[in-house]
Amino acid sequence: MNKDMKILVVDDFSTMRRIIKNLLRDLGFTNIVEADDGVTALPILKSGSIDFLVTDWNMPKMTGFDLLKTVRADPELRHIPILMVTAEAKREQIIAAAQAGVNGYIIKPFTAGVLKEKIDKIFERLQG
Amino acid sequence: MADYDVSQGSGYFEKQLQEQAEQLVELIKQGDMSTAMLRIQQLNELRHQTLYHEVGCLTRAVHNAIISFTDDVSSTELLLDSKHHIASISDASDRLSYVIELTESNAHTTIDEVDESLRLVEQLELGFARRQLLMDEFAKLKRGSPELEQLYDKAVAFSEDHSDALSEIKERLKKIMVAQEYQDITGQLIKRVIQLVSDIESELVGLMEVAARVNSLGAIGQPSIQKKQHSAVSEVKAEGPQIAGKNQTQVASNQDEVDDLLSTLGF
Repeated sequence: MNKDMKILVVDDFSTMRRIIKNLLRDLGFTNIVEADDGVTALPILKSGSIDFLVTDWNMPKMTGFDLLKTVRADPELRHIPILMVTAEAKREQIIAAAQAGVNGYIIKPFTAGVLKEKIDKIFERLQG
Repeated sequence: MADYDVSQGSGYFEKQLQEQAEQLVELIKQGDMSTAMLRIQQLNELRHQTLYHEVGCLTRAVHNAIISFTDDVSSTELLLDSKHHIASISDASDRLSYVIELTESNAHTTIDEVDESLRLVEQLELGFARRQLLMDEFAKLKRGSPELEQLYDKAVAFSEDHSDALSEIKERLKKIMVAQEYQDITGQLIKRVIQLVSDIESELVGLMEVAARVNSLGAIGQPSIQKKQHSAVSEVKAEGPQIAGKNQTQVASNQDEVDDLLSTLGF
């Protein structure tokens, strides 16, 4: 796994963005950018160079689920691995996210250990 | 309770009014005053019924909103509060927004302090690592010199190894930081309550519009109340954090359940 990869963290709560950013930094990832919902995330994604997307689900304007579907439908972006970190815990939601092509799903509240484990797993699979 | 269609109700009333008015004119022409009076009375009753149905629908909408609210939050205190302070609903929303702002800024303050503490712990770790290098050099030098051996032993006695404690402090500080995610979860719940409060507010405005029509007979036309779209959602929507003990079968209560579910889907 390339520790220099550029990661986009999308969450409408600045507290959560900061927590995820700190945890990622602790795991050795320092190249991190932020967005507060799908609408602000898309131009950043389209500008290229994002290697990994970590997104919340429930956000104003454009949800993480819509962002997931938009990214997967865009030939330029569809390859980007996506990890959802969300309080949405309904089975049908998790299944829908999986069907839409999410690479990992973490429910809040979560721990640093879970975040590390899921990121490791996503990149193991991509390399394998 | 059967779903009463308000717009159909009003339309029905209008139709009745037209028909009966024609009959009324006919009756008056014929001089049948007692039957005419009966018709007027019937019309009046029908008008009241229509009105009651409208009020009933609105009341039920408010009631449903409150029920789903208590379902979500199960706070009877808050429920009573919203009933008693209908006049200051926007004030209540403002106060809830303030709770989000306050918890957000305090969560940031906590993380600021954690960041600074982590920086200090790392400085300490660096200091201990440097001292250890010094001790290693010292250990090489002391060989063959009884005085240095003695001094070395003294130095060792004073240089306790704190690295385990330091790494534990670091872990605990990180846990404090991660625990601030409560702000996101409580914030999402509060935002939903704010939405509910504004829904109640607009339903109440509708209720007041109906009440206003009581005073003006001619005003009973097409109801301006828009029936809330409780569309059977086929699309998956964001629902916010789940409350423990609610919808247990449809909700994954921990990360293990999420992982199990995903693994059945080939993840």
